Amino acid sequence: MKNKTKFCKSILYLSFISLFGCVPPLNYQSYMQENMGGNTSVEWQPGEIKENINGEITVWCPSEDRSVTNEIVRRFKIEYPNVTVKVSEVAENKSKDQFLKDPAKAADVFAIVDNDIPTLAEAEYLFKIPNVEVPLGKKTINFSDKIKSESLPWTITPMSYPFDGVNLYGFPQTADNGYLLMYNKSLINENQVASLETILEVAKTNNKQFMYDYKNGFYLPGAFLANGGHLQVEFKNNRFVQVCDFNDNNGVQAAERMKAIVNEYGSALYASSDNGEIQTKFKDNSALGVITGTWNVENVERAIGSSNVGFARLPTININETPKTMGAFRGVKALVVKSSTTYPLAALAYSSFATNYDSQYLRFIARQAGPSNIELTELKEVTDNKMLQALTLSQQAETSVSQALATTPLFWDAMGALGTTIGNGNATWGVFPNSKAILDAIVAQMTTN
Amino acid sequence: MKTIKKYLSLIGSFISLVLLILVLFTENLKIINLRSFNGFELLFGKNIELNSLVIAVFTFSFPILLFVLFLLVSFVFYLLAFFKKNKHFQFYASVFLLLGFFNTFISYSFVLGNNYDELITLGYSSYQGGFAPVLVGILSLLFGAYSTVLSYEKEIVWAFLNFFKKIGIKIARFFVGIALGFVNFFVKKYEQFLEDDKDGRVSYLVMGWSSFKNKQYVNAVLYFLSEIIFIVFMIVYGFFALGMFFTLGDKVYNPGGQWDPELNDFAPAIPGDNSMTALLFGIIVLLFIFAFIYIYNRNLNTANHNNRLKYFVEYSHAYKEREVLLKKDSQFFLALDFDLNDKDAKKLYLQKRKEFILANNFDKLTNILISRVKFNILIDYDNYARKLLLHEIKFHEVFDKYNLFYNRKIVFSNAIKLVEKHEEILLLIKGEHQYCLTNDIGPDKLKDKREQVAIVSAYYHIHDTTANQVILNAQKGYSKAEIEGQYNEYLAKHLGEFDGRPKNFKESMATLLNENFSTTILFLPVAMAVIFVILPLLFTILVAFTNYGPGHIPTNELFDWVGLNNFFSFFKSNGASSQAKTIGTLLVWTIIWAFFATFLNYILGMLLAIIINRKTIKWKKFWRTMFVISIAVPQFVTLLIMNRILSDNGPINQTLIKYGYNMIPFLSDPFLAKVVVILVNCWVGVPYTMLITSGILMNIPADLYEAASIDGAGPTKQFLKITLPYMLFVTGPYLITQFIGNINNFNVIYFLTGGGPSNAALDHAGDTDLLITWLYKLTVNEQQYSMASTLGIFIFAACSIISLVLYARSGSANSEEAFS
Repeated sequence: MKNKTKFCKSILYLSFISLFGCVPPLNYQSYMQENMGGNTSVEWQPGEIKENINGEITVWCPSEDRSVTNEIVRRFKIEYPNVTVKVSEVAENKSKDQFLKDPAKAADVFAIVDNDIPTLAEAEYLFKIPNVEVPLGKKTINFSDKIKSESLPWTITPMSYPFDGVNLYGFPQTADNGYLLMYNKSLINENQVASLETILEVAKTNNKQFMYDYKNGFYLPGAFLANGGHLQVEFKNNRFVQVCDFNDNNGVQAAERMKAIVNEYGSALYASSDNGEIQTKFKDNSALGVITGTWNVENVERAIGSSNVGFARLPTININETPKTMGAFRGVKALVVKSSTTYPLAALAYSSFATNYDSQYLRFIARQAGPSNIELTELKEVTDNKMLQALTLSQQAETSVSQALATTPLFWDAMGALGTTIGNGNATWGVFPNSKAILDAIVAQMTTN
Repeated sequence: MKTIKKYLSLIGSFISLVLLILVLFTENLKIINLRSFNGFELLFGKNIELNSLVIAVFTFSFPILLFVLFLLVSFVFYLLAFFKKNKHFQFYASVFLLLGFFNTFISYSFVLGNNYDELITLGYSSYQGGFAPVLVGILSLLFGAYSTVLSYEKEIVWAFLNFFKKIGIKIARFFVGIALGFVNFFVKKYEQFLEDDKDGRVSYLVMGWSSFKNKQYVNAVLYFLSEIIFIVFMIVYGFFALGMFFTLGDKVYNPGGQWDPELNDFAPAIPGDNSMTALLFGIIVLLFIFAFIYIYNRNLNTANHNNRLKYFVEYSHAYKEREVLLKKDSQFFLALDFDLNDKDAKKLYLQKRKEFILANNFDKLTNILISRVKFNILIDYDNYARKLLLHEIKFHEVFDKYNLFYNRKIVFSNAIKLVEKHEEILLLIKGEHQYCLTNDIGPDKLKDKREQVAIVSAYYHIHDTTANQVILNAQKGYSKAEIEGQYNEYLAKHLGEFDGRPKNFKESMATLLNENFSTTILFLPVAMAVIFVILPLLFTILVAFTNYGPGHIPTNELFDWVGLNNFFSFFKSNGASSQAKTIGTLLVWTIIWAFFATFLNYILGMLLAIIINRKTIKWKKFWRTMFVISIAVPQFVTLLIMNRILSDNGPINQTLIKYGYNMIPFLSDPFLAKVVVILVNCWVGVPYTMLITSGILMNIPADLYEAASIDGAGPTKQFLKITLPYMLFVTGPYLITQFIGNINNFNVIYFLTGGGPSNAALDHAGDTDLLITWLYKLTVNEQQYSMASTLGIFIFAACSIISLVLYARSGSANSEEAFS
């Protein structure tokens, strides 16, 4: 009986403990403890205390940014003692949908991806950042000019509606919402990852796989952009319309080449961008590389250790026997203020504060988030960061485009359908007679409003 | 022509064979993981690897596969028809030929819209056999139609026409019925107004006035208060809400945000109108108006009833005198021997009856001399009589409740008088009485209850109702005391209703616990149903007539009424992947899926149950348990696991790749994905049908099978003639429910394939998407709420038509007596 009781108790304890065995949210202090040589402090000096700004605002941030946001809020309260800030967690890529469920109950300030800004701005849900001097404490500030002067130039247009670079609706927070190539240094080297075909050959030879989700409309355009494809969003009749020339000869060549690669390399090319799968396949060494976004850096580092992770720009792809650098989407994450906020000045003040130099630096230190602040991008710590370096190279390639300025919501399903047909495992194009027909169909689908 | 008719089946078999060969050798055969090739290449060889052929699965495009199957079946039936000289087989062959054509032609081209260029390029470019398949399709249609008509001619044409005629009539009756209902309502109110006294007429303006004058004070206050509340509500909010409902808002949201130096703050946002709340509250106000109309109608009915009650006492006297007339006239009726189906005889009877009534000065009284059933038969056949007699019975109908009460009193009275005659009554109904022998009414004839009633009625000169009651009393052997007790109980219960006095509030409330208890108990469920089901349903239906979607999403944007535009847009072809094409393609797949999902689950479940039920099988419980275990796993878990297992990167394909084979695109090949969803649905659904059919199988009488065996019927015949009809009769409604349920089977498709693989030819839909999953995508992913709502109505209409047609034609609805 005693043994039975002991056994039950130990099971109970173990179960209790296992509750805490799940991966804890990243704490920037513990991260810095591990990665920054024990330096747990990020220096910050408060500016002028602005007591004339008051109000109560709510803020949405993604869960992985929570600890950073908590620190920012702590600092903000020092500078703005009469403003109360409540924080809750909503991911940036879900904040638009969450907002639209009930705009009245949505947060005053929330993080958003840049390609969601036009939808909300068009419906007048977002507060237009004032282009005039407004009093903030003893001084005045022009929020719009501040953004334009401090942010990377390419991050400004996506913040505006209708993409005029003048009427801004968002405060750029990070400039790393793109994708790059990550690889296992023990399975493939720096030179080999320069070319997609080489990567696949190495994978095939060594019975490994390279993860590139060509069936996903987010990644597939790389080949088309590499071969001179154009993607753009135009503003016509008060609506955004997609402009896409993927169905021209260049697009046909790109599509044919992708299909040939898929059929030639078979299982060496693994079409998945699932975060869990990426981690699993790296962990069991079945994957030697992946094209994915910065959100998976941590996953891959956890799987094989940060010392084994290599970063590179996107590889080239041979089209008509000419290697061409694959294009990528580059994106910005921003903070926006809702138009019906009760305390617009407090909300704007918070947004500006949370995206200033110090806050972006904090975010970089804690999460290796790529800053949008010009001064910060020139900091040695940032330029020495290999991941951000590779990302920057990918994003700044001639063939890369801004996701917000190049795509409408109609783009994704159409490209996904093309990717599925490319990956159908044979030479046919589904119900279409050839690649030109299917490209015509998907371009028509994404360009018809 | 005669020659063609004579050798039709032979010609038909030749044509279907030629078409079959043409299709096989011009259509693309898609072999998994290989490039496609057609029959010519297959025959003459073109670098086809043997091991690939061995392991590969032939996948025709799905409609072509069906066309091939139909042509094959058609060919076989035509041959059978020729050699066996059987018209039935010829008919079946023709139908399959037609089906084959419709299947391919419609699924590829008709639903693409009416753009001729698109028809040729899009619809047939996929055939890749040039124009040959078009010719095949057209020949198939022409010959199939010709052959079908020649097979049965009249029966086919009439059956076809009658089917649509019946549906047309029913639809017309439905709408005319609604219109007539409105008209009749106002006509009835007008007649009531004319009939009412002064108090009743004032009640039209001041609700509750008649109740007040008739001392129903609580009712009066409640009616009056409801009128006041309604008027105040409409003035304060109702008219405004109705106005907003019709316009769906005019004021646009002003985001403000301009810096005002004087205020030292930003201009505040000014909220605009919210179209969604305008629609919702408009519906609520309309429902409120309907509720008030109901209460108003009750007020008018109460006033009318109060008025009639004043004449009640007078009427009750007149009704008692009717009994005298009943005795006189029933003799007259019985003396007249005529055939109800003879119109001249009926006219004569009615004329004589009218003279009789007038002669006896009973023209103002009710005078139902024959039973109501016969009365109604007369009404049906003679309009003149109908007009005449309706006038006479008006007074009767008005006081129907009292008549019922009074008739019941008479029945009881007569039953008490005839207590001593119970033995005689029993002899009469058995046919052993002298009266029966004299009139040659044998026991066989008296097995029919109606004959028993007729003979007792005739013998004792009593009404049919009374005769029925005395027969029952005699059979049960009730004593006089028992019948008197029943009579007293009845009087105690109902006498108070007929004293000419309107019920007061307390008495009305008491009825809510007695005869109107159903109203009490159903009030809450009905209220909940209205709030949580009817209201959202109305809202959703009305959304289909707006442009609620991208660019028109509240709260900042307004949407507007667009009438039937959304419905029309589903049938317009606009671009490569229009909604017209998508809805057509998905509709065809939905029907095919529903058919196979229902049919396969049913048949396989039944076969499994039959096998387990066989006498030679041991451990029946164990086998049943094994097959039922899959029910223990929640359906969505099974589907998600299947999705993982069968995906391109799943364990099955990874294993195949590991051992050097090519992967099988279970969920990424359009045709295979369709087959897989059907098969996985079998895994999920067969245990349920196995359980249901097991229970039914055990209840089929074993002697039927024994008798069949003795007659020489084998197992197949026994299954087709005994088991299957029995099962179909019992499970007919269940099958229909399953079919409709599978049309809307969201779970299987969504969790297993997510509607994929994506199809660029469809508008935001995949190859395995059903209409319902497409509706989900339109709503959640595309925010096209109005289009999704329109699609929902379309699905509802399709499901309703299918279920009504199927049920009306099912054995359960038609053959109940035969089954019994």
